[in-house]
Amino acid sequence: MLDDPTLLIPVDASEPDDPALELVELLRPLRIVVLGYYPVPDQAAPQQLSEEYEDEATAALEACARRFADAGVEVESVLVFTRDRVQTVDRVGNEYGCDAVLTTGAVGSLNHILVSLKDETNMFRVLEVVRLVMMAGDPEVTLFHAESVERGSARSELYLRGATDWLVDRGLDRDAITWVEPTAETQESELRELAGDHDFIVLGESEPSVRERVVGDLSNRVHDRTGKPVLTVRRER
Amino acid sequence: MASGTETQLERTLGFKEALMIGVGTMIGAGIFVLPGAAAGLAGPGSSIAFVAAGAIAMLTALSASELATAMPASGGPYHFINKGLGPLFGSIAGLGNWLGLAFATAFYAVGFGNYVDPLAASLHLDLGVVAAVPLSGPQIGGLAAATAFIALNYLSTDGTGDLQNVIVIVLLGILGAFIALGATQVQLSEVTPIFPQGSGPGAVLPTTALVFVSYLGFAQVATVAGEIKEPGKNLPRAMVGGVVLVTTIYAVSMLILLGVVPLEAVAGEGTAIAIGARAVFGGFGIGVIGVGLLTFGGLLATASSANASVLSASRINYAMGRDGLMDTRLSEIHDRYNTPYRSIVLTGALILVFIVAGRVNALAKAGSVLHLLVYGLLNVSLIVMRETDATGYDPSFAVPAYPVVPALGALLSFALIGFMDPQQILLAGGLVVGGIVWYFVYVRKRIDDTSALARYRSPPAVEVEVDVDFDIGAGDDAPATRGGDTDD
Repeated sequence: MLDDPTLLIPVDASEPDDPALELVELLRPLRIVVLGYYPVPDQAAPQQLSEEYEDEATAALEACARRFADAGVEVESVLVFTRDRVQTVDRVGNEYGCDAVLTTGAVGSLNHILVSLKDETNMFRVLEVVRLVMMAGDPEVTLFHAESVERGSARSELYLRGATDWLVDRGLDRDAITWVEPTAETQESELRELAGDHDFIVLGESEPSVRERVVGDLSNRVHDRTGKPVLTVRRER
Repeated sequence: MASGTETQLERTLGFKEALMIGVGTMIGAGIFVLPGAAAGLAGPGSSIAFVAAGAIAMLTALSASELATAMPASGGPYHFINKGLGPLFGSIAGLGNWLGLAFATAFYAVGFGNYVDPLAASLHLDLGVVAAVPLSGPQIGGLAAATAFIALNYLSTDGTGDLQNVIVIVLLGILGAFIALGATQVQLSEVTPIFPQGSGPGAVLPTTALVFVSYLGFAQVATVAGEIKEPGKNLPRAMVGGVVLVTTIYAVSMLILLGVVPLEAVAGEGTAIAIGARAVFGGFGIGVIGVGLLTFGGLLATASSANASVLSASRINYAMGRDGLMDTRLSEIHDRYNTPYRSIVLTGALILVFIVAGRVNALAKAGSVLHLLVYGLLNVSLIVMRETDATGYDPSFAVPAYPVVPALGALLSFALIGFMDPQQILLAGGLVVGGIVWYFVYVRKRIDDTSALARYRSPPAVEVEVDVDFDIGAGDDAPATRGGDTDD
């Protein structure tokens, strides 16, 4: 399913900030694509900014990539001048065959991991990543699933129980896995509150709604709100 | 190891976004500012003038599509002319394009002021400045609006592109409602005779000259050619589609406006369309809503046109600096905001001066005259590119009916200048002289002429395979395109 997992790590090339290595350690063995995106305002031509900043940004990006390379990971790096970060992450993700996107953030320990199981088509890929992470370290995992109010909570509970069994069947410790008891009132927005109590969030990519196109997708909102690293598992392409 | 990082420029504009850029820039002036003045000149016949202006714009839009797919780099019309005809014409076109945009922006800003003025008056917002300075209400509104756009663009505004889409859709909705409701109430007697007393078919061309400013936006699409996905397909569609859409809306709205209100009521009025809305929506008992909607539309439309033009103007400064026709210090990028702040400030200062100095119709024609000059040269440049078999010229879209379209485009663009007022014809002449002087004083000693025309006239002494890369935008590790390899 994930034979040669490839991780895309977008970094803002205009304000380079070294992504935490701890996260990468968890997901080995893997291949990393470091995407330096350089935001271009409407007022300037992308070409002009690339002429101005290409050397500087490339140097910063390669310094960042070198840290992963030194840790023994296979790294590629690409610098993109763009007006639309979301589109760029998506396109580069496709081009380099990336399985997941890591939005980096402040990490201390990685003991508490929150997993959102919203996306059904992608569920096993998300769980596979969770399995890899749990094999590598010894974290506690909290599973989360929310249905709409109309649909109630029965399906949520079955998803969560099923996911737990799936992981336990693959040799993981049942005690390390907990899930949030769903009720009819459990809302997606609770994910953001839960995120605050965890070190690291794993979620599946989903089709952005109109609202998400305007305010940014879920992974970014969670990241913006909590400052926690978010791993978004992409669909199979 | 992480050596050899690849650099890419993201193409973020699809067909819809490209179309919105063109339509968003165009839809402001024609229908929200000029109908009063146009009606005063040619009555219902001004619809014909809108169609004629649209047809001339269409010819150039076709030529610009071909040129832009061959060399999709920042700079638009200026860039095509510089590459085809060399730095002498490049200087004329660059200055013309830049100043033309500044005039057009000043015109949009005063148009915006036209809509603010009655609002301010109805709210009794007499700020005391009106009496103190010798400026009209619309001019003061225009100055305030222009200052705001300049400040916004200096600081860089994220997501104005998305906002632009929303604005255009709202505008199309408002005008659609105006047209649909208006169509049920048109009195044929109002629009006949087509030409009111005191005017005749002879009034069409001067009116065309006045309203041509309504179509300047299509070329904005060409200035962002490097950012359009599948430019060979999307660029011509967006430019041609935009001109067709806008021409139709203008001509139909004009007929409906004059079909529902007497000519005398709107002739010469700055907010004629709002007057028309009172009648159109009033027929359904919602006159106030109609006036409100169209006033809102007028503010949105003129603002989006002005904003888009400020953006384009700084692209031209940058492109001229890149090609050595202007000091690159002018297009320097701000450390913090990443905007070409000096260029924005200088263009902004010009816009403010033009608002103070000019009357609205004069500003419209000044903007048009300089663009017509550029459009004429653009068509000539296409012919030169084709006839000289320019190296590396490989457009993915070809102009139909060559050479008729570009020849007619050049001819009609230059000819329309003749229907402007002497003042603007003088401005065009002054600009040509200014461009020539600029070339000899500044440009000539700095750069070599590597244009298609120069290569044709004095081909390289030794036959060498020269890799000319017109598409600077896509070239990451492009071998240099500049002289040196051929000029001895």
